[in-house]
Amino acid sequence: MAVLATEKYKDVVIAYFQESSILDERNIRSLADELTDIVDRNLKIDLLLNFETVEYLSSAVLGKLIALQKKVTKEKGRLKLCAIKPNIMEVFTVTRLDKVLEIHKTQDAAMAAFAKKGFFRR
Amino acid sequence: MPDDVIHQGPEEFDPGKELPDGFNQVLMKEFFYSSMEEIEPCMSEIMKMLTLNGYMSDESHIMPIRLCLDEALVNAVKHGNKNDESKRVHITIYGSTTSWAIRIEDEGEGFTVKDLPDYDAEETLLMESGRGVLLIREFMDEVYYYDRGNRVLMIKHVNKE
Repeated sequence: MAVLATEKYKDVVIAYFQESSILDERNIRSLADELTDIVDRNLKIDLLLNFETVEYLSSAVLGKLIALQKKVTKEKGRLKLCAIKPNIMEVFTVTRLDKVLEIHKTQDAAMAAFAKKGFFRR
Repeated sequence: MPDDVIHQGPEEFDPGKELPDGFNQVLMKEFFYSSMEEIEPCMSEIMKMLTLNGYMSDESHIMPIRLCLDEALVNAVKHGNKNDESKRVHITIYGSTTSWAIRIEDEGEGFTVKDLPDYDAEETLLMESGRGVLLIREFMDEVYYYDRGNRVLMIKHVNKE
């Protein structure tokens, strides 16, 4: 089974995690492959990762998120995260991922941020 | 890395003694062969055992502690034993009324604490690995690397309920 389910809404690809734990090697590899695939198939992607179902993740996932951010930026897309549970948010803060990734409390807030297009975009 | 949690231990506690100072119980002693696939089952067992012994009563710590242990085990398999499946990772967990500790030993070449990057520097912000050490620094109370760096002892003080 795929780790992510995606839908497109107002030009934003929203990816939802299908499982509450992303821990084992197989899961993480699959996540990385799926993310690469999503970014490769959408030019200048606006990608929103919705974390509402996620309760556990391993440290390897943190690295994958950084790699994703680099890839999306390189391809001139935008990446945002939303709905991260408080205990996972603490992990993001301690590892300073909150300084590298744009995180919104809710999906609506993230969507609103996407809607504010930059002057040079599109 | 200037730090008050992570130390290069001068030498391990007396190898003739079964327990490090301050601990009165061996809660678990096991090994597994170095494969990434083994980490998750091993981790589940460790977490179950810590919970059963009342060390995880602060539920907000379950997730970060799990990540700390995950990072330490991944380090042992990947960086210590270089994914060599003939090499083993040894785990011992110690308990007392006020603390628990985990000792992880791999059969690799080790490293020194001085080799760790400066996590406060701007350049390390975009690193794709090594973030576990930041979690370890935050959520563990004492960390000692022994011998050539292939043994680590991580101590967590808790209020058992």
